[in-house]
Amino acid sequence: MTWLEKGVSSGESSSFLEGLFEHLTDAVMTIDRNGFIMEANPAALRLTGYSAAEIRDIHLCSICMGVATKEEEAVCGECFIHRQSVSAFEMRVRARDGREFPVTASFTRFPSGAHGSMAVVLRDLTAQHRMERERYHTMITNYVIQAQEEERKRVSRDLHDGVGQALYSIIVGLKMVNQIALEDSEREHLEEVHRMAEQTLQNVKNLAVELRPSTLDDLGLVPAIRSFAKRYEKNYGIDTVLEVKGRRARPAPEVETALYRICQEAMINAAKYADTDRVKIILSDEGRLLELEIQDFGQGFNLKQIRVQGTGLGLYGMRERAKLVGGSFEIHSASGSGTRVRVMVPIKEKRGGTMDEHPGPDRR
Amino acid sequence: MCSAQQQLINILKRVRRVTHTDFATLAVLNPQTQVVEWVAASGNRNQRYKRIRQQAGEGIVGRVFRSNRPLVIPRFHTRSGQDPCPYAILFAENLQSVWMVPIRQGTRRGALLVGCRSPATREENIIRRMLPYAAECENYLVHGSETSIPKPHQKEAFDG
Repeated sequence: MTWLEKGVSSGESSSFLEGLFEHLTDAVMTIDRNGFIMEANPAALRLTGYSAAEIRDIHLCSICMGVATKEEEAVCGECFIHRQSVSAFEMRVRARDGREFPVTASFTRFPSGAHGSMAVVLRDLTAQHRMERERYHTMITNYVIQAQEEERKRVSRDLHDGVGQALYSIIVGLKMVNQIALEDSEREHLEEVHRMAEQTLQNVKNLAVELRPSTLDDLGLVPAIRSFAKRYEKNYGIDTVLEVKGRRARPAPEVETALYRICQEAMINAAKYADTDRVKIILSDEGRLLELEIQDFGQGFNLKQIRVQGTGLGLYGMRERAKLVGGSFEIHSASGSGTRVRVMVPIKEKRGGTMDEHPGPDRR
Repeated sequence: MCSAQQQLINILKRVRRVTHTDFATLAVLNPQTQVVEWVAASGNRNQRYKRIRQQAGEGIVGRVFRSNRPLVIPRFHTRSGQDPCPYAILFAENLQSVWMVPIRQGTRRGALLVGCRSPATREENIIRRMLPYAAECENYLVHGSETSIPKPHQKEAFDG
């Protein structure tokens, strides 16, 4: 006879309470004064993995790994058992198979010892924790990506407008000095310095563009990709074709940045790992969906057996960037048949009007 | 009589043979534009080398120019976060080991490169074996510029 049967006089309310105990989705356990489990409902057995016979007389400490605090996931300091009352709290449970997981817990201390000392109610938090972690992770990734883009933009502008302008002034000054009558050796030296200053200016400009091209903000995604493709061809010797289909409207700046970075990453991956001499980029805007496809014609790889040659963060970063702008990311590849990276981003019309058209025709 | 370009390709073929390497090429600095180009190759698997353009001072050629000494990369691995641009020629030909010798003729500069598609196992003699061919390439620096260098769109049979 269970504690419930013993303790309830009326047959009807007894069966009601029994049913309640049996069918509750929350795990309920009664604990005696010494902390041993007296009874557990089916939900508690499912949660812990013990049978009804096994769970009786197990000490609560065998399944409780501690209470969560601000600092740690599970601390076994001041046990809740010794407290008179405490609001719901989070603790960690170890199931029979050794699996540990978080639960939300609350307890009720009984006034007399007839049915044990207290009842503990537990609810599995694994799914909520996973969702919370993913949400937090997305938030942090978003923050890091935005901070990185902002910082790149700032450094790029500082380089272009500050260091670049100063170097340009130096070059103009050197040209003026060159007009003065000089010895041949002095002129030769001056020309060498002039050449070095011009090369440094070019390097500064390249660095600024590599960090974040101002074209992306000023003219938009298509001109920015075109200009990256030109640099890419020169840097890696890969023949690059860009095909633009559909409307020529500018999406939101964060979508432009995400697609530009994904395109850049996919193309650099092709240069590093694909062993190819040809890359094709297709950007199509059919009104509701903006689609970017980067295809190489290289050696490809088996998606099920990815041999990570870098950190593997490149693919992860592309997927995250697509996710942050509400898009989807696909990668298709097979040994010997190249790799195709595809990103699809739904277009949200700007509030109060249509999207901006490109200010001018694209030129290559 | 062979053109300067054909002579250069023959030199590259020979240096590849004596060094037992998979690939040989010559980088030449254009003194006017200060741009480095790979002007010819032997053992190439594609035409990427022809399209690669780097500023003087950039990349592995820049390192050779600055130090004016041979450069050896015995085992090339792609490191995470590494800028692949300086190593473009290695990625283009999938090279895992590379030996480079600077060449100079007056103000004209270049670098002879040989490489393998596997990590190096016998690196010690390669630079020494390259030196006579580097000296032959110096002539190209002076006379080669008078000959037309193939443009990327020009078809050329692969020299495997």
